[in-house]
Amino acid sequence: MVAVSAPPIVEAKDLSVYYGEKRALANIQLKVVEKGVTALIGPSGCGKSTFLRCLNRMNDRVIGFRHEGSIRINGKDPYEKGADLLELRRKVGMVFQKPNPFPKSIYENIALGPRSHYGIKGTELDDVVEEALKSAAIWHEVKDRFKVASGLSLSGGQQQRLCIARMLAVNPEIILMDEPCSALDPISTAQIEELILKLAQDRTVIIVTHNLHQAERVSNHTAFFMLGELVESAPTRDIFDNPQRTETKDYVTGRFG
Amino acid sequence: MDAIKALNAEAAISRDAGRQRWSTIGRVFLALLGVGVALLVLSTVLLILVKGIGSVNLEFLTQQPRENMSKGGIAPMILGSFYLLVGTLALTLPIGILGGVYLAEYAGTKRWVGTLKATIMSLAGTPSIIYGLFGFAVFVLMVTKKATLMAGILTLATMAVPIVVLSTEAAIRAVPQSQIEGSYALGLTRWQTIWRVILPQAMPGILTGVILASGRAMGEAPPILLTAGIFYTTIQPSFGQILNEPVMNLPYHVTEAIKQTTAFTEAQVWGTCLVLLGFMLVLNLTAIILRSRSRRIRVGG
Repeated sequence: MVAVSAPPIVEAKDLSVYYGEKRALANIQLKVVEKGVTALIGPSGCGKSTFLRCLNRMNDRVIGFRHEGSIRINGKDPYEKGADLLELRRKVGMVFQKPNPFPKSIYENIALGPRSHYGIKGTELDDVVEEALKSAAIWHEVKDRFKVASGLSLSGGQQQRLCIARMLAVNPEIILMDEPCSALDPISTAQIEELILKLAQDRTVIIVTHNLHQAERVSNHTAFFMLGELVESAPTRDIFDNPQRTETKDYVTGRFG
Repeated sequence: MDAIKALNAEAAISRDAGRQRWSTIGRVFLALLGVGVALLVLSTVLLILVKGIGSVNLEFLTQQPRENMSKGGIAPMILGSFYLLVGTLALTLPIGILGGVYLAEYAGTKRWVGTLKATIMSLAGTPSIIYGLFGFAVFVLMVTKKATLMAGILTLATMAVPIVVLSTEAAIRAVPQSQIEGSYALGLTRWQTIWRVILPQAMPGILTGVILASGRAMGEAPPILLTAGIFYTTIQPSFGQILNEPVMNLPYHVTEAIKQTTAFTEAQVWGTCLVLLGFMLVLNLTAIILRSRSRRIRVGG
């Protein structure tokens, strides 16, 4: 394992998660350093999405959810009493597996967040929307119609980039992606991956993926989960070229999964 | 071996033929049912149209009844029904929709919530005469002391609210989780999520419930028999004053006119039915147009 030099922006210590009686994560120790892309890989049901959803407390809505151990995001525990849930979700944005634009205009999709968090409107809001669409590399495709066209009128790949723009409009520091390309065609996937690399230049991206090639292409760091446990976490090259654990080796060489 | 194969193949063919036959029978049966229902509705509408169209004219729609109701029109009844509708909707929409929002988003899964829901469901199916008696016992005897527009509105709202609560709850539950998660993930509050994301998407379903509820509230005579209806009054319907007065209205008028055939001609009763039918048609069309518009916004284009 390579020593981590910068202070971690996300840190899990002895994190265990339960859904009712069922344990979904067991004693996870994981540090994510600022900027760059961390990929979470592992077979279905291994707990990687559960881990991701702890970071913006998306699990709160699941009946029976509880956790033990601690999470630190920028040194603060998102689960501590009195933690500002809305501020957490502004700082920690999320992109879902299936694009989920709202059935509103493209403009309204993006305006919703900044209007709520920063109370801006008028031309200032227009600028934020345009900026977000540009950052998500979709501006040129929608600039003629984004005020009237519905988010649902876009193609799947465009919808996912709209969702990324929607998230960028509230200026998150950390971006969680839960298999963002699994519903997309190869060309759209390539566009999203390019976007991920661009975003990771000044933000921290944590991506759950089933696509090992994708993890290799976009991430600097990879964490391999299995049966609710973190098996190995290391720079991506090491995970794929020189895994320390046989489980990791079997998984990345396609022997199971 | 070959013999067994042949037998199997034969059995498969006859199984397929059997399935085919049942599917055809089912299709024909459903088609007949559909045609039957359509005919039933169509013949009802046609009967009322044919019998009633003769007495419906401008005077009938815009005049007061005259000469012991044998002449003139039914303008006050139309207006009375309209007032009942407006008042009922004004009470039902906020209470019903907020109630549905509460059940779907706030109440959770506690045991008493299940009991509450079962109660609301049985209220939605309770015969309207029960509401009439309830309204009479509570709103008339205890509050207004006589039949009034106000008591009628309160009674009709009591009847309509459960329907709107249930349809709102169902419509909200039909909004995909992915949409709700998308909103929360942006850091929107629960209320913002309900108001900006959930309700707009649930609106077509909610409006369907409102159509059902207002149709039921406006078409039925029993709830207003004892609470708001009156066969004849000279008090001019103007909302402020008449709130404390009984109102003439369409369903009540039909009920009474059928019983008291002395002065009222049969054609006029059919005419009143036709007007009531038209009233409901306008009401439903408005709601359907609203619904399709909110659907269009949903789908976009």
